[in-house]
Amino acid sequence: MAENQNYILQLKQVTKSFASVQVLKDITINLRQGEILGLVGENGAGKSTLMNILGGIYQRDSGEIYLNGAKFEPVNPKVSQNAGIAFVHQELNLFTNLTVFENLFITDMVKSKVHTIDKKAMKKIAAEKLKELGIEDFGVDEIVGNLPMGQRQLIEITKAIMKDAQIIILDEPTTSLSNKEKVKLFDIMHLLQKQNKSIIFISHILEDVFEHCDEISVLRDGEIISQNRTSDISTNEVIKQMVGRELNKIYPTVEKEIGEVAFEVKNICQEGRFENINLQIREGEIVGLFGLMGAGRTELLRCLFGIDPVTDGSLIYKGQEIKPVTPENCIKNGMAFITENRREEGLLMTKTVKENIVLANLKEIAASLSFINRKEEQRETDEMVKELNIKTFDPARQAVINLSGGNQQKVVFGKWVLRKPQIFLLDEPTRGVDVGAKYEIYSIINDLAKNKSTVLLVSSEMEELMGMCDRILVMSHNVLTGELHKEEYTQERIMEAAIGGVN
Amino acid sequence: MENSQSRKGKVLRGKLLNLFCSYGLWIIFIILLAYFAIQSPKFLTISNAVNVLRLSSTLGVAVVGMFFVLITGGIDISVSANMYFSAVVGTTLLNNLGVPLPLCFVGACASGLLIGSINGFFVAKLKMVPFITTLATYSVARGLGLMFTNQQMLFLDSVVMKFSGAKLFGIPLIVYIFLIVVLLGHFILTRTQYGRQLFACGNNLVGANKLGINGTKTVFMAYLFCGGLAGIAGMMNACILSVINPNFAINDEFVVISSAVIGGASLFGGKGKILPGAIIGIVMVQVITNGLTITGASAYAFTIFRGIIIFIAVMMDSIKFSGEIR
Repeated sequence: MAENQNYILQLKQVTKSFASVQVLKDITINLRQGEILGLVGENGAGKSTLMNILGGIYQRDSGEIYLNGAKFEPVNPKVSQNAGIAFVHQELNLFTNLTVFENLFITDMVKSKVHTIDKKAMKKIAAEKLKELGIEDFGVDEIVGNLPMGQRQLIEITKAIMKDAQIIILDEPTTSLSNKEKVKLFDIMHLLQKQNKSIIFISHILEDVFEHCDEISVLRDGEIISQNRTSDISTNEVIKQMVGRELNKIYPTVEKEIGEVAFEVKNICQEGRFENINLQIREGEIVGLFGLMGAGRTELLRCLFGIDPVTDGSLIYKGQEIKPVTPENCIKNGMAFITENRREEGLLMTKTVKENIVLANLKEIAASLSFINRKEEQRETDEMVKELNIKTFDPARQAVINLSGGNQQKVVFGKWVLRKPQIFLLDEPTRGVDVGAKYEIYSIINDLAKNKSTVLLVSSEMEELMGMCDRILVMSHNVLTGELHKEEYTQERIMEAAIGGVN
Repeated sequence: MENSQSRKGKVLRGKLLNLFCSYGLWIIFIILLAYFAIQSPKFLTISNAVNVLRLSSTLGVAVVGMFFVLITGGIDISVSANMYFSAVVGTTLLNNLGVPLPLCFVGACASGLLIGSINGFFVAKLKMVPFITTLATYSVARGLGLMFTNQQMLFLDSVVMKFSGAKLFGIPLIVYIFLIVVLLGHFILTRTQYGRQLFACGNNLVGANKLGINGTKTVFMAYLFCGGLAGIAGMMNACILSVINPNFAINDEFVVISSAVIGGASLFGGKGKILPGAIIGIVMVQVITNGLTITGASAYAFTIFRGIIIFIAVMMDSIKFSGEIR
């Protein structure tokens, strides 16, 4: 027992099943006092379930939890809170119509003798807490709705320390933060660490985990694969453990033939933004489009797909002009536009995988009298699920909202691919997707190219473009500023063009 | 050149829209006031102002309750039927059992609370859609009222004349009751934990529940308040009129809801200040009703105006909401 003394939290053989699916198997984790434990794993590995058990939101089936060496039973969120476990959820739980201090105190306000709320006292405490964390970007009186996302995340973290928590769980806290805000968040994390608080940090981004955590625990398919001191393990090993396979090639390669120019953009203009943009994509070619934030990449894709108005110019596919440039007509002419906003643009979240996949293709599978041909529907769904390797227990029953981000994105692909388009406009198709699913999406894109589609791939990740594309176009301030062929790829050259430089 | 011009045009349009959203109703209101004042010398008199205040006060009490429900993001269609039914209950106590008037108010309030608790149970606990749920209770409550009265007019004991005619410093007693209710409502919303949590639930109910706020109870209470206040409003109205017609308070849910929205409550929930919102909302609506009556406008003019005003208020609410990030 002596060696365990500085463990503030221990989980032993914790298991959890939902219905008949075992989500967690014999989880054993140790968290030391005053340390940061990184918890990594693919989406759907069970990280959130595990943390929800600690937070008292779910009940475990078996296993034991020890807090400060004593048995601990988190039967509901209150018990966990009172035991000093604070949970910062992935989605922010803030009330945008209330002020900062009201949000901090909402569950348990300071009250005066006559049981009214004591705003003055609350403001004072709130200001102290913010100061303690070195947060000066906003005052306690501000309405949360007026603050940018990054600052809202800071409020959420402040909320965690309001009750003097000893263990703070941060579930993917950096997803909506800018780099500057991330730095701030990590500063706060280390500040809390210095106060001898312990932190469990869940993240996709291995760089961050390696830089800031003392120990790293890898979770895969509901099992803890390893827990190591950060210094004892390398990034490659962690990736390997996460996906359970060698990822010596993060970017899959495929034998394909690049043919003649198939898709041409000629002198596309949009009033106030683009002037005479020209580009050509060959059959089977994957062309990358890189640019810094605000360079106009997404806007260009939207323009090409007719979502935003085109004031002049033409789109040509194999000698045929696509006219008029409207989304409807673009789709008719074999174009597909896949965006990062899965929730907003692509999917009906509460509908099943099957319904989503066949949605865009209903006309095709409708038999006589427009009744849906169930058999055909099932066949097409099965085909897509298999082809794209969508992980779902039953495509006809599982709602898309219950899939991991990567699998949701695959459903989006499935939706489009079913119509057999020839021109793919992809806007950050792998954003918010974990390593393993990324690889699969890359494979899907490669297969598209192999089947003689043309692909225009927008991404903010330079490496991704260098790994995937046959050619990279660079954009800066709504102008194409560079074109690089595979043998010319260097990060420096791409960046040079992206900053708006000379080619 | 053209570009910068069109951009300027856009900015200007945005500004105008903003201006319209903030002051649009006021502008229309002031134009109407001026029109009424020119058309009838009786309009801008103190006695008429007192009259409008008095008329505003009964429904105003219900508007305060409606604020609570709108803040949760719900709606209560049943207020008018609730007013009718509760007034019938209160009047029965008064006429048939000889219960003192204040206790009749308690009875009417209790009947309102009952209807409110039914609404609250279905909406908060069983998560039924507020609109349909309260539409159903609306129908039931009015039906019960009609059944009890046999669809006959119900005259109140003359004792109520004393109450409805009572004045303090030249202002009807009823107006004071309204003001007290406004202050109480304002106090609950701004100075108690319940009030702040109500706003939280209206903004993000799922989040509130996750944090350990009892969302069901919080929302239930809002419907309860709304029901109880509607009951009191019904009894007040009965006292003023001294008679309960079968179409007593009919369509008043429109007046109450639109007054709350005009007064700044949002149909999307999470927003609203009872002080001064409830007063501004109901007074604005009543002034227009009163002005149209005084100037001898067609009987249908009020319905048309009311429709237009609700439309504008809801439109502004939606425009404001769509600019908001939650």
